[in-house]
Amino acid sequence: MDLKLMIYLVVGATFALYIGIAIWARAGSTGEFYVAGKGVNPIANGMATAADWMSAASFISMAGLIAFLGYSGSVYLMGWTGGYVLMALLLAPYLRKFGKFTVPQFVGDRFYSNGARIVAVICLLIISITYVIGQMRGVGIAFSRFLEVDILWGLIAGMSIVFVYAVLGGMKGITYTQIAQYVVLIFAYTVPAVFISIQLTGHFLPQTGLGATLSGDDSRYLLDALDGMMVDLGFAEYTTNASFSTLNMFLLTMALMIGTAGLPHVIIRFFTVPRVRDARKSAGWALIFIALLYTTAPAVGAMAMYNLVNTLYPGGVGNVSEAMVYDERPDWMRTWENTGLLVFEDKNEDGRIQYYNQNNPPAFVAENDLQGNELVRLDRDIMVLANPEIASLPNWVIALVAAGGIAAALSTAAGLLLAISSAISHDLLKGVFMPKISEKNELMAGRISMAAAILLAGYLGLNPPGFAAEVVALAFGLAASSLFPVLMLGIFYKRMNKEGAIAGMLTGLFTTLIYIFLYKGWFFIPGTAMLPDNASGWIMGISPQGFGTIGAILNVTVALIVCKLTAPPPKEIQALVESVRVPRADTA
Amino acid sequence: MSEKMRDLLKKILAEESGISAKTREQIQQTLASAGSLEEQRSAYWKANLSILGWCLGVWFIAGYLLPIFMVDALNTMSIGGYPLGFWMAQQGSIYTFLVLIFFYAWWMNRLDKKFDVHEE
Repeated sequence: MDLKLMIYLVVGATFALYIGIAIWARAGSTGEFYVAGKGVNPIANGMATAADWMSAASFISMAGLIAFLGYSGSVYLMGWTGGYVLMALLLAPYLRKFGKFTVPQFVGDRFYSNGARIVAVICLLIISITYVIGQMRGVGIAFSRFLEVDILWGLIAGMSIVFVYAVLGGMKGITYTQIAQYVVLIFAYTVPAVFISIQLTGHFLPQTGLGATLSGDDSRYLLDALDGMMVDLGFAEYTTNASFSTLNMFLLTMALMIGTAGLPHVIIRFFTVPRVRDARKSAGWALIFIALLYTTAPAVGAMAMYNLVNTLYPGGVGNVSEAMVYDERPDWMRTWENTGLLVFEDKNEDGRIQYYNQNNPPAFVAENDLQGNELVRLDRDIMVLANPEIASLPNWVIALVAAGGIAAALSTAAGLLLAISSAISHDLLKGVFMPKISEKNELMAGRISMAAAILLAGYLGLNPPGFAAEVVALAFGLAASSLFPVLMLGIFYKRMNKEGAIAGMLTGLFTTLIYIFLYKGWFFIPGTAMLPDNASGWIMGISPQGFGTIGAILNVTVALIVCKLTAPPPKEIQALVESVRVPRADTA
Repeated sequence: MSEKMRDLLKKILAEESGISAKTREQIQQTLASAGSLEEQRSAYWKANLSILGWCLGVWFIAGYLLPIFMVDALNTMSIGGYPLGFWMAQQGSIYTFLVLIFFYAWWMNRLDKKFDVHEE
């Protein structure tokens, strides 16, 4: 069947499924709208959390990053999974015991202050909105590439789908839709990986295939072959690639971990399970479903790189006179060249494409009079989407990957939109400005703010401020430096008071914002960066992406100092903290 | 021991005359060793913190010590075609995190039962 028709069919079928689920699971009360009525089975909740958490970044970008970073790419794998340990151990059970709807609500109640609540809402909005822009952009790109429509129509289609099931269903509808989306995205990710693993190594599991020998050559391990290839082309060895210093490896991994644990749309999921002991396990279930993708990703990245280099050098790696003939390039390269994400330039005009590291040219460059690396641009984001085509897999697999990428982006967008709307309707309106609002009106306000958030996200997705990768760093850095420390102190340090919490949040928020803006430009406006964004320009060698860790440390330090200098929290707040620490309510 | 059980035992001591001196002594000992509710709470919290400490220690070893700080030393060994340090960073750490969360949940549920603060 024609590829385009196949994609229409598969993506259309998944959309019909999501909308069907949304109609079946409409929300009737604010409880169902915000937290699905606390009646979600922990395994189902884990699956929905996994879909919520794994965004276009995990599905589309991560394996491509790993393909080019090799060992250094591990920061994403460890950072985005290790955060669940922190969530399960330090936050989930206590926030569930606290038993409210939103993160700002916990901050406001625990620190007995609407000021603290509003600061938390601001942090939440900055984090969630920057994050949702990336998702809408991902939806738009996936649509325009696969359905060959204008990016505007792709975005409108994506926005309408999210609108239907998020606005109607609230958390309940979102939760059940996300379970379906998880199934779609994990199939879409693992099926091509299994095919490619079998092709290259004969292993069914990509996880073991990556550590196996190549088919047809039992004495040569895939990773050894890949290491050799990269070195032959003048790149670092794949398995020991040190793109980040050890300090930055540490800071980046830590920032991603505490950022994950501080993301409000993920934390909110642990309010939806029935009991404290379910909350502890829920993070584990979520991680099982996440690990299925995250342990596959290293194989996807490495194998895509291996296949790519072999495609470019059919006569053997480094054999430049038999490198790929440009006019005979595979079809997938032609399609991606149209997007501008893949660019070739035959600099020495021999009709062939020679790919190598021109900053560290291998010996064959001088011997053959090459004029520079001819694979001028290969956007990392296309690796996963092009992967089934690189390995010449059947059309239905390519269609599945399209549906999976869209599912990953939509499920995360929906979770973020819910966090945004509950922050506005529940925390700002009901919590601070209109405490007497009826449940019905609050629900209406929630739906209206969600619709407004979808329109805003769609608009920004269409006209992104030009900072796709940076916003992710910003969202994580802010979650790590503003919300996570204050939640933890609220639970583990009874004496922490509102002055300390507010001072801490503001310190973390602003130091991290300023550090990122110094290197990336004020509000990401090009040309306004004040310091060079490279290892020699970074203060003490700390990269802006890893600064969230430092921001978190500053947050805690300032909070503790201010807290010591001001009055302790009232007795009833200390009793509240005591009760949050014990699972059973009636003994409080 | 829950507040309810404590009250019940005290009531037995006060109202039941038929129990033997030995049983009476045993009940008194149980009550004494159980401590006040506040003492129990603080013992529960201390035990909770020590479980957290152990688990976070494992988390640090699996997520930082082995795959980042000791990666070169580990890479001199291998499992299959994986250099060990590389495997730890891209596979092993994730498996450890998974096992760790379920282990923590199991350990905490046991602690809840021991201190009788588990949910129905």
